[in-house]
This record gives sequence, structure tokens and C-alpha cells, in this order.
Amino acid sequence: MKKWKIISLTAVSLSFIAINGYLIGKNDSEVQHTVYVEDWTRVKEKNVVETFHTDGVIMPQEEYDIYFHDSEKEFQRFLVKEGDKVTAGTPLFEFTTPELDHLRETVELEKQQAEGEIAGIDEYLSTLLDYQASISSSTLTTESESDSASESEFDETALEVGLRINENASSDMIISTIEQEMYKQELEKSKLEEEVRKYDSQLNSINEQTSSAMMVSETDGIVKEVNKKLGNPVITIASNVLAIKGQLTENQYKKSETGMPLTAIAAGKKLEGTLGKINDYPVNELAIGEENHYQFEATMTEQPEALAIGTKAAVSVVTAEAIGVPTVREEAIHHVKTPYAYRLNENGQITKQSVKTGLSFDGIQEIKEGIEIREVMMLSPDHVPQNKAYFVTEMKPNNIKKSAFEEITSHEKWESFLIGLIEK
Amino acid sequence: MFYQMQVLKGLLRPETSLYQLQKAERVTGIGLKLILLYLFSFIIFAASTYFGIGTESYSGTITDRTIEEFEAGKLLLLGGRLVSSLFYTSLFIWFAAFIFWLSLDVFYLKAVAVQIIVFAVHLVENSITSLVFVLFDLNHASNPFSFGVISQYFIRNEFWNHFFSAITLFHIVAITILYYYLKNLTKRNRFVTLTVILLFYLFTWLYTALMAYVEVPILFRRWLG
Repeated sequence: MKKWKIISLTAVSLSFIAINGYLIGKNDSEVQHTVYVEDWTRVKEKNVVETFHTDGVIMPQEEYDIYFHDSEKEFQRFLVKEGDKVTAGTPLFEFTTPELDHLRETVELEKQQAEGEIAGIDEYLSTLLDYQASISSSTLTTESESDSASESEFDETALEVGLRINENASSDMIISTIEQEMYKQELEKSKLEEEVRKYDSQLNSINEQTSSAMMVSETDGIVKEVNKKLGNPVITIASNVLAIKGQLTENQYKKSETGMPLTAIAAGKKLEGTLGKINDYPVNELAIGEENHYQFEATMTEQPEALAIGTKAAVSVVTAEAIGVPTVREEAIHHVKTPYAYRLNENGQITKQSVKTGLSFDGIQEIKEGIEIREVMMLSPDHVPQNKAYFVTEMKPNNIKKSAFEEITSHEKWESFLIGLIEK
Repeated sequence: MFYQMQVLKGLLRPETSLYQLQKAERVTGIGLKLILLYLFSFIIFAASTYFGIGTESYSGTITDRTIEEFEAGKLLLLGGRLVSSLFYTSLFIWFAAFIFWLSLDVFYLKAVAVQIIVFAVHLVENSITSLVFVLFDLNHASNPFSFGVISQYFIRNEFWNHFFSAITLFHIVAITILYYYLKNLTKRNRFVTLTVILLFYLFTWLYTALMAYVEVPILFRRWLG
């Protein structure tokens, strides 16, 4: 063949290929395409759980401080050591109350004195009563009978002197004077009785303060700290209820709300709980250019057994979740603003499907509308030259299983084989 | 005189090969070349099926099969395709040589030797087009080396589109080479030779178009249900 022939034939061939290329590639080309699908996925019913991870430490949920006011009391000795387990009612330390003891003695003495006075008044009143009786009888009975009262003659004169009763005074007057005196004395007595009651209540309150010469614990827990120098708080008790404490970054803080469920893994154990407290004030001093951290505390639904305080916990907080929703791998969804996906249909074609997306986390996308569970979505390539293009798939030798051959009917087997044998 | 079967030489130095073939009383070295061609054909078919070329009518089953069942079916499809590679190679070399022996009175083994050379062209074609298909998301109907693309703009009928897409530049090259060899090996006139060759290729194109047009699942549904 001559050179010019070869050159011209090559040129014709190349321009032929170029024309074909143009016709295939031009916009709204009518030429059929077959998309070679490398990867695909099925829409599955799944839970989309949005979480973030942070670290925490197992800590007692609360600490109780025990104070000792030495103004009234004198410290004796501690009854517990650091690390001791205590329950509500366990004595913690002993003390004495010298001043109160002294006060009690004084009050008791005063009370005794008042009670003595009351007794005196009672005696006096009964005397007055007798006297009154003797007077009223002497006026009504004969003189001779007055001997019977002669035994109390001395007393009467003494009383008369005490009451400043005139000897010549009539018996009526005497009686009224005596009655006056009795009222006076009864008033005095009731005053004294009031005083006794006051002393009683004083003693009660003193006793209350001194009766427990031991301070007892109000809660269950572990003695965390004992201050031997007696600086307050003298004892700190850590409660038995454990919680997880840790810090959140600014981003995590924004997403967090109290009450959000969380899981934690501490020492190989899985714990469940909720976000209890979030401290709105950052941990460190505010500084420009530095990320702030916020303290959080999580309570656990079930108290873990035998978990040492200070155990590190990997916490994952659930900030949002969608349970039992159609989901698809995130790569199947294209375009964020007007999302769509490519569906592989039963006719061997690809259709573009616009979707409404929901929650997305960890590569899994919730689908609210557009595609349904079990439908097949294309993952790669991420572009299709035309709508309703045919598709074929790359073989996935790793997914071939012997058992699958038993699942398909012999009719289906022959169909597959014949497609391979006959079709071009 | 012997003709030592050499495929590349037959393509690149046709004059020398033709001369040797004309003078030869015996043709040797066919066996090894044939095994290699069968092997290449096998590999090319396997590779193109791996990427999914020509499996459009199977793809739809993806929706109601598990991935394992889908892949199991594809493995059977690959099996069918590999068997068809043996048929394809055999028919093209042995059956075509038989036709040319019968109609053009060419010494049979010499016809086989010519077909081996021409078949190499088809293997090159298959490997190049497979690569182009996968890279540019195309199928047989839209083969850019064929007339199928242009015909799709003018004809709606799928069968004829498949027919035109079966006619490729490589086929024209193959026909040219075949014609060059056979016209010099036969005593029949050039016109008859060309007609026989073209008829053979016409039959190939029609057959290919039919096979591309046919969809086994649809046939199955018609026959069985």
C-alpha cells in the first residue's frame, strides 16, 4: 500500500471516530449509555444515632462536708479513717461540750430553786386555806369549840402579823385579806411554773446539743478526707452513688442538653445514663484564642458494681436519633441543597430520584422521602450521563457464596447462564 | 515447503506471509497459536464480563435478589460467557475456514491459517472496545468504532441499530486482510471472493444483531409463562 493511502485511510478512520465521539458526548445525546456501576447499596431500615465522644472519669456523685464548730464544743477524737466505708448513723468523731455542761448546771440549779419556791408557795397556800377555814368556823360556832383550833393559835397570830390583820378586824375582812393573799401567791406560783418550763426547754435544747457527744454520718459513703488539723470541713464523705464527670468542648457544649441519653465504657463495662448537669461556666479562665471547656456530670441508670473511683470512661452522648427509618449510605446522596440519588431499577436502568434527607451521622443518612426500604442505590460512579441509562455491575467475587446457589431456582440459573451464552 | 504459522508477521508483512502460504505444501505451528488465541479470547471475555459488559438484561434482578444471589447468578452468566468464547473462537476459525474451503476451494489448513491471522484483529478489537466501553460508559450499541452511533440518530429500530453497531472499523480492516489473502489463494475471480467474504460478514452482523436484540429473560417469560 502506498503511504498516502495509509495516511488518508487513517485520517478517515480518525475523523469517523471523532464524529462518533462528538455524537456520543454532545449534550442531550440520543446515544444509549450503559453505566458501569462499581458499587451500590440497598436502602435499609436502621437507626441513625448522632453522638459525640468525650472522656470522663468515674467519680462519686456528691460529697458531703462535715463541719465542726469549736466555739461550743471541744474536739475529742476521730472515729473514722480516710477510706473507711460509712453508712448513715456511723459515728464520725467524738467531742465534749464544757461550756454547755456548765450552762446546764446553772440552769438546773435555777430550775431547782424555782421548784423549791413553788413548793414553799404551795405550803403557804395550804396554811392560808386552813386559816381561812378556822376563821369562818369560829364565827359560826360557839366560843367553847374554839379550843379545837387553839392548837393553831400560834400560827394564826403569826399569820395575822404577816397579813397585817388588825386584831379588831372583823372576820369578813380577815377572810377577804386572806383571799387576796392567796391570789397573789397563786400568781407568783404560776410565774414560777412558767420559769420552770423555760428552764426545761433550755435544758432540752442544751441536751440536744450535748446528748450526741458523737457526730454521726447522715449518708452512706466513703470517708474521703479527714482534716487532722481540725480545719473545716473536718471530714469529707464521698457518696456511694457514682457519676461520670468530664469536660465538653465548645462544639459539644452547644449540642448538649441535660437529659440526653449516653453510653459509657469504663473498664470494659458498658454503662448507660443521662446527661445530668452541664456547667454553663467554662472550666478555665476565659481567654481569647483558646477553646473553652465545660464541665458535665452524667448520672447512671444502674449503679455499676465494683468500679473503682477514677476509672476512665469513654462517653458517647446521643444528641439526636431517628429509630427504624429508611437509611442509605451517605455517598449515595448527591448535592446538599437539592439532594438526589440514583436508583437502580428492575428494568436495568438508572433513574434520578430526588429525596428528602433527615438525620445523618457516621456515614449513614436518614431518608424521609423519595426512596424506600429495599430499593437499590448507586454509590459509584457518582455521575450518570443520561437519565434512564442502562446499568451493569462489576462482579464482586467476595460476595459469592455456595449457599446462594441453593437459594436461586434452576430456572433462574439457566436464565443467567443463557444470558452469558447467547446475548452479546 | 512449510508455512510456519506467525500471526504478527501475517498482519504486518502480509506480502511475505502470502508468498510463503502460496508456496507452502504443509502448514505447521497452528496448534500452539490456536491454543493462545483460545486463551486470549477466554481472558478477554472473562475480563469484559467481570466489568459487566453486555449484562444489561441481567442487571434488573438486582432489585429482588440479595447480593449473594445476585453474584451467584453473575457467576453463572460468566460461565455462559466463557462457553460462548469457545464457540465464538471455534466458529470464527474452523467454520469460516470451512466455508472458504467449500466456496472458494482454498486449501483448508491455509484457510485456517488466514482465519487465525484475521481472528487476532478481532481480539485486538475486543480488548480495545471493552476498555472504551468501561471508560466512557458505553455499550455495544454505541460502540464509537462502529456505525451504531450514527444509526441511532436516524433509526429507531433497535435491531437495525444493533446491526449497524456490529459493523466496525476493525471489521473493515479484517475484511480487507481476508480479501487480500483469499483472492490470492483461490482460483475463483475477485468478485466471487469478495461476495463470499461479505456474505460471511453480513451473516455475522445479522447474527450479532439478533443476539444483542434478544433478551433471554423476556424469552423465558414468554415461553414459560
